[in-house]
Amino acid sequence: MDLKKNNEVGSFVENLSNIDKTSIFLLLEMTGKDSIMRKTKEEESMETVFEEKEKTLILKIREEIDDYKVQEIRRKADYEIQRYMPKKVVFDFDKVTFMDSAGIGLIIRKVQVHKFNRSRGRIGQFNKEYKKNF
Amino acid sequence: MKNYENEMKLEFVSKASNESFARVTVAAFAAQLDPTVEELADIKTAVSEAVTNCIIHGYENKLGIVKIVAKLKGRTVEIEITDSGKGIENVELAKEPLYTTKPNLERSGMGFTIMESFMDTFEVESIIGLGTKIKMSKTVEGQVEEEEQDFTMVTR
Ligand SMILES: Nc1ncnc2c1ncn2[C@@H]1O[C@H](COP(=O)(O)OP(=O)(O)OP(=O)(O)O)[C@@H](O)[C@H]1O
Ligand SMILES: [Mg+2]
Repeated sequence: MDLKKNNEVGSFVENLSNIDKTSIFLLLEMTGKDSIMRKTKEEESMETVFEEKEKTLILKIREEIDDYKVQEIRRKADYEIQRYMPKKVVFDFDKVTFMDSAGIGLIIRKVQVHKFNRSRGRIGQFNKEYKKNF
Repeated sequence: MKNYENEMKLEFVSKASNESFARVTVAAFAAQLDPTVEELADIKTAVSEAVTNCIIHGYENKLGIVKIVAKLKGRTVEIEITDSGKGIENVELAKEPLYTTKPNLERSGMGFTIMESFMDTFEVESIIGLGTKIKMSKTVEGQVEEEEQDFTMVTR
């Protein structure tokens, strides 16, 4: 993502270089500059389901998680979490066909963030091929 | 079982969007040895780790060329992945599990560990300012011929 393309957002990011990414996406949403989020369904690397009753956000990740794809997944996950404020987040890896250390980085980081936010992160359903990475 | 002698070279610009292209290409080449799905996944993952490292550490997202040479010798696939980037100061330290110089980018520091455990041989050559070369190989057992097909997978 090229935040620098937009001067306003660019300077916001520079001024608050330590701020959590989710705040930036909240800002992007507030200012209506969330065009990076708008993609057609087929292009999306993730599908989200929010279960209102249990306040559970399910992030169904699709296809491949590498260093390239993980950037979009992370962006989208932060955005959805900020949007729904779930009590519990479930990462569903059932449709993941490939994953490398970028995926491990994503999980470690997300679990830390949710511990911090006092919500519960759970790693659900691994495609059996990728279980052995752990 | 078939035995091949074969070689291929691949050069591409260090863009993250090429990571998938690179690992799929090497996997397609290695597929000539009829590896199992699992063996192919190991090769793909190791290639992905090495290529990602060239892009994010070697060139630090500036543009450079990543080179891959792959050879099939008998039932062994040999892979060399090279960048002409900044090089690694302390290779032994870099190979330690969980060691990363970019923790802020949500890296886990598991790349070298994954390459080492998924491949049979694994070597790192690096010179500061000149670049890094990863050499790795894997001998594949391949699929047992006339193995019974598991059709239940299809109707999952
Ligand atoms: N091609 C390279 N050029 C320069 N430095 C490298 C290269 N490959 C690896 N390194 C250095 O070695 C360290 C360890 O690499 P490794 O792949 O194990 O972890 P990582 O890339 O930091 O994290 P991860 O692979 O889990 O996302 C890196 O943090 C980096 O400092
Ligand atoms: Mg790495």
